[in-house]
Amino acid sequence: MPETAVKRSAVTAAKIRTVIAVALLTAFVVAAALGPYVAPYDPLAPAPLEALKAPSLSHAFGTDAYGRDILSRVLVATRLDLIIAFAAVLIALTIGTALGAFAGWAGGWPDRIIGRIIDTIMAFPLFVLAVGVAAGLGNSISSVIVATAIVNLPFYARQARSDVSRQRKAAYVEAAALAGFSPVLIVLLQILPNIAPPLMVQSSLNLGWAILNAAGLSFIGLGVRAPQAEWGIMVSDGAANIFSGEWWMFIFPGAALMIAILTFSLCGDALRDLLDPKRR
Amino acid sequence: MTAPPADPTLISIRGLTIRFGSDAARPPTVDGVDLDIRPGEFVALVGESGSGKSLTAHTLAGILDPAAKLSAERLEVAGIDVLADGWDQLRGRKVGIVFQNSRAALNPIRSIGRQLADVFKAHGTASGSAIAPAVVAALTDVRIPDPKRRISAYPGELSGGMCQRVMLAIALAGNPSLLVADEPTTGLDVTTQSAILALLLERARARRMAAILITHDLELARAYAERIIVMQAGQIVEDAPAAALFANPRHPYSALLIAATPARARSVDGLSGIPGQTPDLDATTPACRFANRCGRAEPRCRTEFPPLRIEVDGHGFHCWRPL
Amino acid sequence: MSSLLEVTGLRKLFPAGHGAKLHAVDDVDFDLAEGESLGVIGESGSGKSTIARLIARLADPTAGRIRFEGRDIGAIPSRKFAGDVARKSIQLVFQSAGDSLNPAYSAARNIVVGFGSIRLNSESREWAASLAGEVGLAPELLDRRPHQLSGGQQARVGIARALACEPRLLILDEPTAPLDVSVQATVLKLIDGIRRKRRLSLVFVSHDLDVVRLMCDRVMVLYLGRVAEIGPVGEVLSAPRHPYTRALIASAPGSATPAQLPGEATSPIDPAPNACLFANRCTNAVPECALRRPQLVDVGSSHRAACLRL
Repeated sequence: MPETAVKRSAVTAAKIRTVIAVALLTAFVVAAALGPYVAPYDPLAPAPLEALKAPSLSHAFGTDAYGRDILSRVLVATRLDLIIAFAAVLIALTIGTALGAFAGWAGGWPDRIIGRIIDTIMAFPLFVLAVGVAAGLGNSISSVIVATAIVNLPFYARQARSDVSRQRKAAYVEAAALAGFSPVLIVLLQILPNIAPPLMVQSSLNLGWAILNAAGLSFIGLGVRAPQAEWGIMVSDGAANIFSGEWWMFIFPGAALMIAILTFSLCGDALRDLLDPKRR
Repeated sequence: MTAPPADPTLISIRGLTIRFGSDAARPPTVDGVDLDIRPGEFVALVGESGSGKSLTAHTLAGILDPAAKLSAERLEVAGIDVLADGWDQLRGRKVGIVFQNSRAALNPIRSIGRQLADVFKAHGTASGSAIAPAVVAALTDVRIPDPKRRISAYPGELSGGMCQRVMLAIALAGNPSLLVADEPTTGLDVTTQSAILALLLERARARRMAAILITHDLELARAYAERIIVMQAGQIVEDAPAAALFANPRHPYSALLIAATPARARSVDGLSGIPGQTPDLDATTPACRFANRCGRAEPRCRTEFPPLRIEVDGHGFHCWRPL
Repeated sequence: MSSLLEVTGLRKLFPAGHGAKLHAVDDVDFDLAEGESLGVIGESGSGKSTIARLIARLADPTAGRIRFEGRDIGAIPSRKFAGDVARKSIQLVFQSAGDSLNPAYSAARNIVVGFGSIRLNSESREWAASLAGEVGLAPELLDRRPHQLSGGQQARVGIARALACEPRLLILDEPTAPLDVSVQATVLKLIDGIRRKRRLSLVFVSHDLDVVRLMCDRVMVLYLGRVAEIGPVGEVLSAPRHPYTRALIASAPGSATPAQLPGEATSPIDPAPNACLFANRCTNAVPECALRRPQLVDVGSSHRAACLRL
């Protein structure tokens, strides 16, 4: 295939990917915003007479063990899952970048101490850390957010530290110092715009993992508690019913999880293409 | 009227054109260069960035970027018809090349003695037990002090000037008839620069080797070369004996370039820049690529590239309205 | 007239492993009067760029004093100097202009950095445009990013940013080295014009004798971190007294008295404190040159050279 034709098809594929990513993201955001208002049934109200019904016209995704409509619950859970994911990633991004930037700029002891802290965090698997946080802060959604944030922090810290440390010696940074910029302003106004792209791309990908983290934690009973609707906890409930044949209980929340993660992954790719220095 | 050169030419090029990219409508980077060099001649190819001087020199050395598309009516280097027979015979054998950043051109994990030995073996200039003394002789030739001890030195242990000398030794190891030096002293200290160039000149004379010095520094060209070829935006604009070029530049670009050289100016006011910039290569590029920056341009300059005019002493130029 | 800048005993040492020290700047003294232009000439390893950075307070001296407008600014650590009242009065034009511009910002915003901010409101935009005019930068280039500008245009933006700080002292570290000859000529003329119009004092670091001859009133020749010769540029270049200065002049292409400088420079790591470091390459050397470090002696009107044979 001639060179130009190959390039064009690659660009088209990227464009299609971006369109799909944006469309899906919009769908999720709309679902999060409007879920509670458009859900056909009350996601929390039990209806024992309707329990364990397969998908039908009246219940598109079927019902669970308490007779609650799964479609409604999946819709409403969108808001909770997205909030957990965004909150966790936002905390990880800001605190991680701040720590890393400080370590990268200051060097010496601050760099070493922060490095040890990051290494320590990385030594803990998510679930162990989450249980520890839950033990300390109580078993609530905040604990899930905090635990997820802590676990995702190291990437931002390392990326920021390495980028800031390198840019610190750049001539444009010295030029800003010559003009009287203080170190804090240099890092924020001069360096950050140049190191933002990988951080932003990672945030997007991170959102997918954060949702999975949150779902995993509620699967094992941390954070979200019944009767709240959350994809992870719904999969957990559904897992109990796999062998009794009520497949719809875990498939639909599971699919929602999967599509959400895919969406953020695609968004990350699209963002990477957008921020590609060659295109700017 | 010019008589054909008395000696057979070492290099004879007609219509050298080099393009990049697949757009045939785009003007070529090097635009129809004609060049003759005689054995033993020391020529400087002078130009600013974008002049095409490096591309032309790399063509002579047979190391043109594979992505470049070359075409020419004639391309004979050291008796080899490159268009017919290809580059293999040329590289390293008839033509030696010295680059700008010598330390980058040397293998950092091989001692300089071994690198020289490799070259001797590859060209069959020496073999077996004759190699070691040949290496020492080569290092002595380029004035490296204490050569017997230095053969085990690694490039990282040597200064920039020393590496350049080693590069020269490697270039000379194949006994070439032409030496191409592409900005060999740019980035080196002035004192090192003068030593290296003096060495280059001396070696070229001793071996009766032709040499082409590519440089952006007109003063350097004048100090070391007999003949200076001035290139601008891929075209040769003037080709004259060094002293004649400075005494009486015929092409407006050459005159402006001379006037821009600090060494020639008495005061800052005496310095002059050249208006405009090297032109982009597209549909608007004029036939003489200096036309849009030239104070003497006439409509003909934009539509037809002036043919070569040669005056006394072989002072040649391409200009419809020479100075 | 008191000097704008007084440098005494300036030293800068870098660790070179195992307790050894690299003497980048080794006891340098010089003054700069207001409105004067001092050229700093030297080859690689001479310490000229280090001196530029020390005076610009981007680095801290190991020893010595830097007095600017009567105040010892060398004593203020470089990381604290950003807030000092003298900070904006001393500015530096970098060798690689492209690197000295923030790649994420337009030329206009880069110039505005010189005002201490990155905000482009109508007021700062107007100032940026007037500075662009002063440095000969076409207004339509103001919205371009550095990588979209040519070398000469980048150099102009760098100069504009330095001027935005309203400096009294402008240090230029080989500002035209990477530029084509014709572009260099234009930029040098620009710098000279700005210097005269704004009555700036210049420290012009270069490896090129001719550039210094054109741009400077006085010149200081450095060798391995020490001052070899200092004096009025015309006098130093026409009647050099230090053998190294003579060698530099002789090495320039087209020199009337061409000659090569033999040997190699001695190591700047832990150099002999009581010896002339040029002795191993000097045609004038005598045994005493290895026993005493030459001090600067007067050889003309405000012309001094450090050689035992004078």
